[in-house]
Amino acid sequence: MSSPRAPGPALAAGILVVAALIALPLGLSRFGRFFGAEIFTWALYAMGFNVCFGMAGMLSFGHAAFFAFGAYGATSAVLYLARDPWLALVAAVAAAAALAALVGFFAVRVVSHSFVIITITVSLVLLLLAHSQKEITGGDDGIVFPPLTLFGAHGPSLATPLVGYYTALVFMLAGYLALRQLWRSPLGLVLLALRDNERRAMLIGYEVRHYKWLAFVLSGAVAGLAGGVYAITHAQVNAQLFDVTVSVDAVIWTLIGGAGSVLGPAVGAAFVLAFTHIVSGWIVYTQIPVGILLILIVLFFPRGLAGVWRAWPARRGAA
Amino acid sequence: MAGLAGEAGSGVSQVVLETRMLTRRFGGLMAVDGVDLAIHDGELRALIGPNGAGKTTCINLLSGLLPPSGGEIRWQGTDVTQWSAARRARAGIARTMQVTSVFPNLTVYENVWLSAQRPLGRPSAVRARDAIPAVGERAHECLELAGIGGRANEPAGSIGHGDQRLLEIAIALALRPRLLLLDEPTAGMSVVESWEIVRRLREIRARDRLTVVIVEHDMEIVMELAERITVLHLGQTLAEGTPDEIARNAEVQRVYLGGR
Repeated sequence: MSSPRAPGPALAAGILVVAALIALPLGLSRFGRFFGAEIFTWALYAMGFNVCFGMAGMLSFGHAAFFAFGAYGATSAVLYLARDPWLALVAAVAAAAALAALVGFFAVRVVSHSFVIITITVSLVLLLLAHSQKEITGGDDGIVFPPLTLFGAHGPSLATPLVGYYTALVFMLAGYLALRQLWRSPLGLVLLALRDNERRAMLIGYEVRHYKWLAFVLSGAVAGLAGGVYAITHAQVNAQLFDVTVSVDAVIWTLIGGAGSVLGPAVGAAFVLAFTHIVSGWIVYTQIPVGILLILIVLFFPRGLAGVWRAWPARRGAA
Repeated sequence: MAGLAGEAGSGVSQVVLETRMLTRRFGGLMAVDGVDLAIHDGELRALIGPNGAGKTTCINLLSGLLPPSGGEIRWQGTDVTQWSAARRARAGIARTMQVTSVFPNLTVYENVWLSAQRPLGRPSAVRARDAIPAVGERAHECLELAGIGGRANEPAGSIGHGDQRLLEIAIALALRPRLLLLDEPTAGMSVVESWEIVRRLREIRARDRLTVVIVEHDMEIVMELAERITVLHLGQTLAEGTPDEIARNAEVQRVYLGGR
């Protein structure tokens, strides 16, 4: 990371990918556009999760709570404050960050297994509450609200597949750029250092709990933003967003895509969602092939798909 | 060297690090039992003693890795007994570990960069690391001082044991410390590597007038480097003095040096 980068080819590849993603909906069905929006939203969520896991080295099994708090925060803003998508997203980030600040205060005081258990426990308690407090959360049926519109009351609806696609794309790209900057910043290096050796970080003057807490809150805030994007592009939320599978998905996507980079978890989310969609045509229990895929990747590509991708241009450059 | 020791002994320079009745108990074991230390500015003090004498525990208490069971630690006149290890590091107390402790997945350069960044304040979340040249320059300078500049871009976990020990010294130096605590810096190194470390330490001290407390088993190195020596035995101070005084001390001969 200290060696100067050659931004040329990477930048060109990035622009090509973004251009392709912008043009893609023209060739997609309604479902394809909807599915694209899903992928971008969950990719943003997975990248947020990885601030906690891949950077700071804290394995959280409770990130569904932050996604769901973001989604419900956005919905509450729409229902009780104003029908403004920006306000909804601010509320989403604020709700998730507040929850992460509270949970993180306790979670960063313990390590490894205990940390995992705290995050699972909080997530399970909130799941049970979400299902029991139907008058607040709407339970499994959820809360449906009239779709928000862009550019005034008569503008395009955010809940149509095409607008949803571009909305989710914009926030995923913004999230990616912000997290990439974090990864390259001094703070980013401090977080990576915590993953490696907390004691050494402490001995050079970094208060370990403070920075772990900061990573946890940042991670929760990005997951909450993804939840907010989900809410405004679906115009509905439900208690299933609190489900443990949502937390586990973040871990699986990140392991498959690669925890060692910003983009890895996003690639993993896109890959697994597409893979699941394809195999669901043949098999009901899609978790089985995804599980096999996870085992194969962890065994043969421990750095995930992004690790494979990163190694490839280097080999080509050497040839 | 002798002149410096004389200066420290005569009380001309200030006491920067002081402990009073420093105590650490592990269950029924008194690992450190009422140790009083007074270390002068710019002094190089060696802590020696047989295994289990409490040397490493002492260093852990001074650096804040362990809270004391009793007693007081004063650094530059301030009571720091309750301070966290991180706060002591920010106040100028740096250390190396007996078992090498670096960031294995970061590059050698990044290891030192993090440390060089710390004196400048809270790490930014938005600036690019490449955009803060002062930190990079300091990091390279410390890598050169430690003699591992050629290794800068390698992952720290992949370099040899001797180089990792030098890296730890570079990390400690990058903090711009006033006090350097070295816990067996030559442990596990060959004779040649050990004397290379001694040479580097001399250079560094000559440059920065650092105060150093070193725990070291190799008596040849201790006699060569130290200006004053504190001998610990069963957690208590057995003797303290110049290398000559310690070498002549009958009690020290009996419990520690006798076998040599």
